[in-house]
Amino acid sequence: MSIIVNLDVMMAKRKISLNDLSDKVDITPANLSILKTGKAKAIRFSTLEALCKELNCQPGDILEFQNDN
Amino acid sequence: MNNRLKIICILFAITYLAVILHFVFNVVGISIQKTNNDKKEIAEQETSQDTERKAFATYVFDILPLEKSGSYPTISIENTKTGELIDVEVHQLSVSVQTGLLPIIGKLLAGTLMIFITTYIPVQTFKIVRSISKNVIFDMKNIKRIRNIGYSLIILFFVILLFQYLFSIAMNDMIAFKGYKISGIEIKHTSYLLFGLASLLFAEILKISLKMKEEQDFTI
Repeated sequence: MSIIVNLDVMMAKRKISLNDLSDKVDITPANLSILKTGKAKAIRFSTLEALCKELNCQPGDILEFQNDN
Repeated sequence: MNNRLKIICILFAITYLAVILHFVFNVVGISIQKTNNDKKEIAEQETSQDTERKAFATYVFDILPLEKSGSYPTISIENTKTGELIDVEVHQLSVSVQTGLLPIIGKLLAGTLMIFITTYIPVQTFKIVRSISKNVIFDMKNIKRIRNIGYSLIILFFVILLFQYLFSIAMNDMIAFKGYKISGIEIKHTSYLLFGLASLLFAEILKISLKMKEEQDFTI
């Protein structure tokens, strides 16, 4: 998929664990893991908003477009 | 298990058993075929056929003799309930001839396939029902099972057609009657094709639903 999720990078930068983040943004660790590993098919604006708020970043820091060609 | 699902399963089992019994033992001796019910068709018939035939052109019954050695009436038959004489017409005649080994082998192969498919379908249906009872509905295995049921029904339909075609060729090579031709392919089992296609359609709908569910599940 050409949309890359850089959540793991942002989490490493902010030095926050998956469980801590899941507690703060009110998402289950399993779902956050799906998002982190790039298995997610879509992301809700509310989830993105919560993540950006918690990680103090922009949506572009979490999501990245890579041209396959 | 859901009550409605239980009822459908029971109905399916009863219907399936009845169909199998009908095919295996031919328990139903009389079949009613509704024909020419349309007024338009009757009007068309009026122009081509004589007026006496109009009265019995509405329904056509196939009758079978109660005894194996019984013969068929050729002009009229008495309705024992009313005492009325009803005109009859012979539109099909069965002739018994000694055949070679090839038609027997063909019949055996078609019969074996039919037995296999008639066993395969309830087994697959049972697996689907068991899966549904475990709350696993949108599963690729279930979709494949429904699709396989569809394919087997379609294969069965075409095997029967092919068998009839090959049998009629073999018969036409062996025997000929003056003033008669041997009837060839009779498309009787269209329900197999219909249900096969319906199963394939249902499988495709389920496949799309599965894809939608996966997308929904992976929306965080």
